[in-house]
Amino acid sequence: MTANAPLLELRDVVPTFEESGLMPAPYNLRIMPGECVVIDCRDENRAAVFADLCTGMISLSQGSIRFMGLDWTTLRDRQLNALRGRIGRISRSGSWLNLFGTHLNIMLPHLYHTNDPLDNVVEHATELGRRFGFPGLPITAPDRLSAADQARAACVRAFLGRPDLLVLEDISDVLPEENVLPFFEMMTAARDRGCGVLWFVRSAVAWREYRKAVNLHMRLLDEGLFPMRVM
Amino acid sequence: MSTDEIVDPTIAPSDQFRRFLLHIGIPVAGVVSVIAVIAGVGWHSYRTVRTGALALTHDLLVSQQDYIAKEVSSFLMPASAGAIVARDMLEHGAPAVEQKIFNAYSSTMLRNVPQIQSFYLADSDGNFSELERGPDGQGVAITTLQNPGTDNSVFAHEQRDAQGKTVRQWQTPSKQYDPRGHGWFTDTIKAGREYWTHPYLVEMTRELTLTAAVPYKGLDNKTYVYAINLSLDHLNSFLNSLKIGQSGNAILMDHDGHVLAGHAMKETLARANGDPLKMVLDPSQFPVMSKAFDQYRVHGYGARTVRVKNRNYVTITANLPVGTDSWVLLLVAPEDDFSRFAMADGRQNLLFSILVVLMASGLGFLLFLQARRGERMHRQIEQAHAVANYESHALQSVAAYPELFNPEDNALILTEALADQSLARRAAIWRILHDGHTLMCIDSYDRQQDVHSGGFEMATTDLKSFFDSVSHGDALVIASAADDDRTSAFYRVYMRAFGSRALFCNPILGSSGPVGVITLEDAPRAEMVSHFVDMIAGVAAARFSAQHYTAVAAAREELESEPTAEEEPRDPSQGFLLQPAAMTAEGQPSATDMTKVDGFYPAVAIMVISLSDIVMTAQDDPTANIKLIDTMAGILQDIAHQCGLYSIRMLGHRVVCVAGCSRVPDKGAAYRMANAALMMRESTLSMLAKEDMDPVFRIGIDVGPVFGGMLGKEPQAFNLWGDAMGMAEMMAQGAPDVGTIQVSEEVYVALRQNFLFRERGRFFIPGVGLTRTYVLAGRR
Repeated sequence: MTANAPLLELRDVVPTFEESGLMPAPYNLRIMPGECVVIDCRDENRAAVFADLCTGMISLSQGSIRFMGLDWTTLRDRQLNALRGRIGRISRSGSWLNLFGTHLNIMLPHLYHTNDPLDNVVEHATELGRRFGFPGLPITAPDRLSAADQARAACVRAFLGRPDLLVLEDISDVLPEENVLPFFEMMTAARDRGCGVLWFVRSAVAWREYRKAVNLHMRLLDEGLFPMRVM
Repeated sequence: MSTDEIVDPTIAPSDQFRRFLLHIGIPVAGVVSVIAVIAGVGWHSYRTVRTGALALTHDLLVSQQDYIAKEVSSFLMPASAGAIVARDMLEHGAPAVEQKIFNAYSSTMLRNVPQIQSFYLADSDGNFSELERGPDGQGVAITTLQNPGTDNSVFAHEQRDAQGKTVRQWQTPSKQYDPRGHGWFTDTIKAGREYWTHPYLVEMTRELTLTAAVPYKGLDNKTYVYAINLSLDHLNSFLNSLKIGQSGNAILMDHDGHVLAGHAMKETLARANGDPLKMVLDPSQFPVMSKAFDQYRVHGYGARTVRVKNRNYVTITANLPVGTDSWVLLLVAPEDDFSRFAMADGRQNLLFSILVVLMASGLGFLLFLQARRGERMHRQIEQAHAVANYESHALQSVAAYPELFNPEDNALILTEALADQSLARRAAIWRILHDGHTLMCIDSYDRQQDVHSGGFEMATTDLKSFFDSVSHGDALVIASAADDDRTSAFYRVYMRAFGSRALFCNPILGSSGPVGVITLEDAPRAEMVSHFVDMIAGVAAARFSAQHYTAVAAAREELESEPTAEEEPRDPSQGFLLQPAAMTAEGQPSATDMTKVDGFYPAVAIMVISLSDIVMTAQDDPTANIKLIDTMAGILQDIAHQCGLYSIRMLGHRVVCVAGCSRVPDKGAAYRMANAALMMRESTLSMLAKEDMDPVFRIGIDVGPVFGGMLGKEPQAFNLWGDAMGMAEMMAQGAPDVGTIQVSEEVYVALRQNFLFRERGRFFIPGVGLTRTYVLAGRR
């Protein structure tokens, strides 16, 4: 991938309606490295499906989605998994494995996809945990955590490692207010590193503070994805 | 992309399986197919040869059978023909000369036909004559029954020599012998024509004999029977002497399965005790013949194959007419006797084929090795291409950096390119400062963390050997920097904290000698890209020469440019809202000597109140801010007095409260602190509410060991530090929500009887391990 190539590019993508429930209209989106795209979508389920679409988890009836220059549809499982390992994601639905402690949930993707020694990962995760208001690395199972702590853990999981793309669903209603600043800081740090951000929000309040740093604002409606003017 | 990524998705999936098929599967399949073809051809050839051999065998056996049939016919014919001739002679001869005709004819026959054993002549009156060979095989012996039918009937014997002269005459009792009581006579009379008896054993000679008899009417109107006895021994010897294949046999049997001659005769005779009716084949002794005979009985005459004990035998059964009756000729031979050559031929072919296959396999293996080698070379070339491309890209990006030779610019790209090219964990450019005794890090890049740092200085006194190496312009490649004398000091100072092990040093040579050094830590590809490092060293040298100021001068300039401090010196102890040890545990003022507070305190309760940065700085009016804080400080002081805390101190955005600062653990400290925390929370919340502000604080409490003491010169400052202090801060920072009090597990254990807690969860804290944290909710 060259430096001036798009990080994520949806070109006339029409997802299969049966699988996604999204309007079978052509979707176009382009995120360059370091860019932050805010997608306004009131329906959290639609946002989640669109996030799945961007991460190559929904089959297409037309068009192509390229992430870091690679088309999701042309990759095999091993490559697909590795490529998804470069994405940090905050999922609205949580996507936690309650069989394991939260620490494992947080570290598992990074441990699976990289050779990073465990100690480093633990250190990094603990540090991130502290930034997001944990006294350490939470060991308790995710379903035993409070909603706020789950939101914190979701942030830690998404920002752990060095993701190339952040797909962030809106958790602003559960994320404690004092974690908003670390959230923005981490997002900015990641963007400085060349990481693209695809941020789904449900209301303008969630990203008001960060408005100036956003490159593209779009709205995901029933009819499709429409660009908006960044105020 | 993370450098630690296990799978690189940009690399197409390995075509290892396809290559395996190509390099191993195809040669193996080729060899297997060659083997299969050879085996198939071999098998087909073997089958063809075998079929041909068996057909030939069949023809051979048929001709053998014809030959045997002819032999048997010629064996029996003299008896049959001789009997007819004798009958005709005797029938028309006068009765007076009948005996003479019998003697003359029979003697002649006996001399010329070896298989004839004897002749009988008997009539319906009971007269009987016999002519047989003499005892020594010379001449003949004639026996005549005299006075037949009477009590004094005797056998009159007469032995004649070859010339017909009587040599000896004698008599023996006849024991009432009557030819009319014997089968050969009665059956012949009954048949009324030539009749062949069943073989029977002659008691005297113990030979199996066959009799051909013919009846006739004499001129005297008496009925005569002329019989010729044949010894089957001759036939037996003949059949046994036949060679059918390597180990084949022939046997002559009647339709009922009685053995007449040939193979197995001797054993069968012994088993039957000479009774011809019992002379049948024993299946256990002669399984092949028994089976072949059974097959004949089911299917009739013909050639067929029987299988016994996993061995094939070729059998042929043929009809052999004997008089009005017929016998069965059975020929048996193992199939191998005839097809063995085919087997040997096949085996030889197989051997040759195996040789061919081995050679083909060897060639296939060589082909495989060649393919692997070719592929390896191809990969190496590709890798070299990729490296060259990567290097030229890196060089291009360095060259394209607009501020490369601008000494004011940091040119961070140099260390980044070095680290990327050599895969070093950390790459650094060091400069020997103009004083010649200081090594200064211009830029250091940590590839994993993607951070730059710089500005460290090292004096030659600390790193003499390393500095000597550097100033001599030596390039060092050291696998373990800690163990090398030249770099051990450098390792201790610079590398140990980072955790790197190997060191690669490349000097930066200026016009008058080394001016610096490039260090690469844990760089596996450092030696491969040494030319690249040289180039960067050249760039660095050019940059150094462009820098006309020394680091020392720059530092001085920097210091001089800093504004002078105008603030009045403050008493460091002013941060205390409540002076340490100003109160007793009971909340009464005390007068402790502060010089005695130094030391270790095993169980101190520490509370940290962390005030939120955002809200505190959000207030636009500093006067209002100070007033608010002042009010808050007053409230906190009151509560501290009330609860008998040891000290309370405000430091920036934090308020640190201490209780139980005594040499012996103060069990009430945690209790007092928790009470104070709740009171402080209540008061602060209500105060902030009055000001219409959101809660802006979090509280953390821990109980644990700390060190304390008065520090510095007068005025001395009292300070506490230790695990409990760190943990209390962590509890405050990590409190789940604003306005909440988070406590450590130790506090919970100490206070659970008196206060209400809510568990927040378990956490891993480096240096502490697993711990639980609790939120203090209120009093019980």
